[in-house]
Amino acid sequence: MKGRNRRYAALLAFVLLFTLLLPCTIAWASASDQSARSAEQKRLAMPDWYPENWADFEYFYDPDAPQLTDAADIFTDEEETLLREQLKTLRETYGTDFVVFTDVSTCGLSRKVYAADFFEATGHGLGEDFSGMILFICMEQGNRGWWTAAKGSVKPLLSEKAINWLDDRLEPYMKGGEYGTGVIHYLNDLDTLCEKGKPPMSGEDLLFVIGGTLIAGLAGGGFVLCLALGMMKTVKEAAHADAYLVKDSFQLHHSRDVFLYRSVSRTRRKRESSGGGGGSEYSGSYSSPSGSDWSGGGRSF
Amino acid sequence: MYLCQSCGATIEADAATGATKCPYCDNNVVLSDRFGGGLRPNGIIPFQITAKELPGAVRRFYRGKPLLPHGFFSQSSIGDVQGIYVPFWLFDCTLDGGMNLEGTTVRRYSEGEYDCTEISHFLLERDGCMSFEHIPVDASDKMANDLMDSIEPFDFSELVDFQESYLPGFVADRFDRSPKKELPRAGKRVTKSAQEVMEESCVGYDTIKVRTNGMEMTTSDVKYVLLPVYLLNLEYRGKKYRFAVNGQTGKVVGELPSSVFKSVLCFLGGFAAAGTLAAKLLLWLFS
Repeated sequence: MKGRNRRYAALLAFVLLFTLLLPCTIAWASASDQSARSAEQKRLAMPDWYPENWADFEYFYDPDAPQLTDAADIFTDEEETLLREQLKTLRETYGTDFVVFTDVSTCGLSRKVYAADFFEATGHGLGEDFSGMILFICMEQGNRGWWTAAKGSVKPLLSEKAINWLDDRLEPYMKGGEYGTGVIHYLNDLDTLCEKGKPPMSGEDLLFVIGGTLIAGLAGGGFVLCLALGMMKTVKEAAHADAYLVKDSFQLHHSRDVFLYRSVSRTRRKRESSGGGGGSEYSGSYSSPSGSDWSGGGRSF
Repeated sequence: MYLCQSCGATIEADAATGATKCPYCDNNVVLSDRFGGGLRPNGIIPFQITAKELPGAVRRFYRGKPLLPHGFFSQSSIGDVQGIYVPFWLFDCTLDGGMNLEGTTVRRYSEGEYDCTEISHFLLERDGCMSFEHIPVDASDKMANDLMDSIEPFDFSELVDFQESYLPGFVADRFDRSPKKELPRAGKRVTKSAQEVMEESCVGYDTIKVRTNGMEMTTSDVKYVLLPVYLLNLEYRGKKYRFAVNGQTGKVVGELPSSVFKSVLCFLGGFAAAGTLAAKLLLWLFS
């Protein structure tokens, strides 16, 4: 009797356990299926150059990797020739890689990530740190825009001010549909930026400097003149009697400091970068899936 | 009207004149009744600087005056020089009472996205006393207040009892403004100094402002003294410039001409220096 009861109890426990575990097992299997399907779906959506797994990706430099990839076909043949020449000259002059890439989609990624991923996955970048700069133009409906990114030794060149300066000059061409002309001018501006190390002063900045110098000069001149005139003026009525205060005669009988009230004023600090002080979206530092550090900015059109 | 004891000439003198020179024979004339009885000064500081030392003192005064016209040294000439014993009231007083001041402390800090400035306001109650002595206020209508204030300080340790024998060779004036009339001038000066002393007793505040001043001034003593002053005129390019020299210390004060050319140079120099610094700073900021 006792032995039979034990067998029945064990059987009941097994059934209960199986009943509880079965739904969980089914759910887990289903989820794995789904993620496998979505991963498969994603792999299907990404372009061919996109690595399947960044964790396994090994960085490489391909000397034959084209500096211009016009997947969105927005440049004419003549423009492409000119652009290739310009990019080659820039690479030879500054010893760092320059890439222009256009595409019709970012496959769900942001423009900044897509640009960095393209640069790294297609064998670009010179030197030990794979330095270089990329201009990516996206022609996807609802996601039209461009992004300039830099890594390695040229990363410091792309300050927020530099990005705004480049984008201010590129924007009219992008909005006007003159993509080729715009990028040709853009590469000239990039050349200036690399040569000088910083963008040239804007007209507004120059006016500010001139104005500030004039005001400071007038104030300084006025101050020195007042000082000199003050030295000439030796006759004035005496305001104090400090010299006639009897030494040690001051006695303080009563002293009391009473707190009255407190006032606090708050000023919101200027937001950094991510809205773009001059109109561009800007990221001073962000990482790509390979772990590289990038800087860049861009706009929509 | 007085008669010169030397040549018998009639000398005209106003009510305040106590000693003068006969315009005819240059004899020193002391009008004793001006300093007699209740009008006798309590003290006098005799002249320590002689008239011969004046040109040197005035030349030292010119030095370090950046806007003085070129050639002022060589083209100017010292005109009339007059050594005058100027009447002064010396006030000794005590200030006693309370003062209320307002002090503030400022604290700056960051809170999340905000920069905050916190200002705390305090009422500072101070009650005390202090003494002042020998505050000089000139008692002569003929002397400009600012000129007489500017030749301070005098060293009152050299103040001696008045004797008429100090007066010959100099002009001496009697007071023509009463101590009661001149007391407010002294009061203004001591009030200002007292405020500064009280402010110094408020330690640890970023700003201090006097709200109410309830200190009362009590005059403990008033002395009538004669102090030595030289007055001289300088002529330069047809214009006269008046100077006063402290007859005890040799301190010179006076109105000086300013060269337009040097003023412009001065301005341009300051403009260039400040402008260059500002330009460098702004270019660096915008780089």
